[in-house]
Amino acid sequence: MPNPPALPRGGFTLPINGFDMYCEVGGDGPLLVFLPGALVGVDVHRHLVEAFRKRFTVLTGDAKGQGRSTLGRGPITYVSMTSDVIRLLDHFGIGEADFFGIGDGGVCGFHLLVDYSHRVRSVSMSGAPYSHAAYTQFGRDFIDRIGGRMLAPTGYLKVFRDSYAMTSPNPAQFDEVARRVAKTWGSQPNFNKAMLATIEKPALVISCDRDEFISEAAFRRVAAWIPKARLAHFPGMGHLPAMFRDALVAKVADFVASI
Amino acid sequence: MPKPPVLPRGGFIVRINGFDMYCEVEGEGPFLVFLPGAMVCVDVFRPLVEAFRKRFTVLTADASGQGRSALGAGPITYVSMADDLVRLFDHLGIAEADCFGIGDGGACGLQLLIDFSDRVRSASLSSTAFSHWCYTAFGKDFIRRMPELVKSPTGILKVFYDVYAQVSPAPERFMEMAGRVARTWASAPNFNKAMLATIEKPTLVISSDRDDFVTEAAFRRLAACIPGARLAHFPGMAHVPGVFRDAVAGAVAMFVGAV
Repeated sequence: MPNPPALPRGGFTLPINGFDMYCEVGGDGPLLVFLPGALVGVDVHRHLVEAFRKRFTVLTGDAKGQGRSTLGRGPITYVSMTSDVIRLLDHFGIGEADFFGIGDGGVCGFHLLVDYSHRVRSVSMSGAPYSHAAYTQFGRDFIDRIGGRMLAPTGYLKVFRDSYAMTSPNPAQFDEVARRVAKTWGSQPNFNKAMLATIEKPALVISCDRDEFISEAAFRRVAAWIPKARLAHFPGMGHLPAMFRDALVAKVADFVASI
Repeated sequence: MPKPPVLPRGGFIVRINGFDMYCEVEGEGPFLVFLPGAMVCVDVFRPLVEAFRKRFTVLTADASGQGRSALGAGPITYVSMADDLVRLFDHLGIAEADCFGIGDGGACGLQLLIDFSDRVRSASLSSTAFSHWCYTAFGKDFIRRMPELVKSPTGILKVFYDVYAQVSPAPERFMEMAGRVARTWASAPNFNKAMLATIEKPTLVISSDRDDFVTEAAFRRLAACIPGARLAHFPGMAHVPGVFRDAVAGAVAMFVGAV
């Protein structure tokens, strides 16, 4: 495994592509880049990040407009978020890295594997849809009405908004962040079998059977389409790993160590 | 119309994302970025570029591994090419620009419109497929046989190959470059109606009825899917504008002038 680069520790802010990206480095062990995705920040995934820190030196950054990062200009798409992560690697002189992405962060993982594979040592993805064909009926309904739901958040969206109110440098911009994210969620991701078949780097697909948004069949499909992908299945787990977090981290650690 | 940025003139090399990108700036008038795409370069489109230079200050840039640019590390995809352009804009201090893309360059234009729209003032797209659905039977067959065709280039591939042999800093890497492009052509572009519907910047779709690769129906569909898009149809024109080049440059100038 490559040596972790010399990184600052704790929480700090970096100017990346026209916005201030909030990053954290913590934990011990090989370097892992944790991708939280859109509408969520590191704070939403705090317990999971802590579990990873027991096994890895974890670098994580809130995407544009998410969590403690500022909003900046332009779309918040899987491509734009992935591009910003590459700029973060550039900033620290990290040539390639092992990544873990959850939900939208996992979708960024697909882009890393397809479009930026020279910056990837491996990617592990949890709760990640490859296209709208991956959604459950609940997920599809959620996405179809996302514009309206963002305006009056309940459930997950309320958790996200409440966390945002506590941590964002500008909580009043939640509606604008939600508008940009809803555009992306309403139309993407849109990977197909042929695109996933171009992947050459090691990928671990984390699967479960209680994800409200993504069908178990979709996880199996992704693992079958990505050449040589590994599949780790967690019966009973939902979209967020919750009490499965230590088991999930152990699987990722085993996978990364085996490369 | 915004003033053209202060740029060097003539041909020059800029270090972008770990490779030496070949750029040219020539012509008089409002600023326009010309996107040639993959397997092709500014030298392949010389007469078309000259037609644009009568009406615009034109910046062209050969993508990674194309024409006079060096072959960088990593995939050559519509995402990676669009990302490299954004970094070129950063380097040259271009906040946003009117863009013209032909073929693959048009697909990069779509990527810019969706993922980096804050850097786009307008986009004009010629001979552009938004997905494999757009291809003619000839185009589909060409894409399918591409990995085999590049081994002994004929027709349009021979034209590309001969130009590459003359201008590339590393002509012996043609097959390596072509392999990376074939990987992308086999699986992308893959924009769908919902993604095109998120486009907010002014877009001109240049349509024709003699394009060997893209159907006339696809151009009409593209214009119908992008909110507010204009359509300029050139009966008799093929994939490369040929004798229509002045008329195409004229249509783009009128469109950009009206934005």
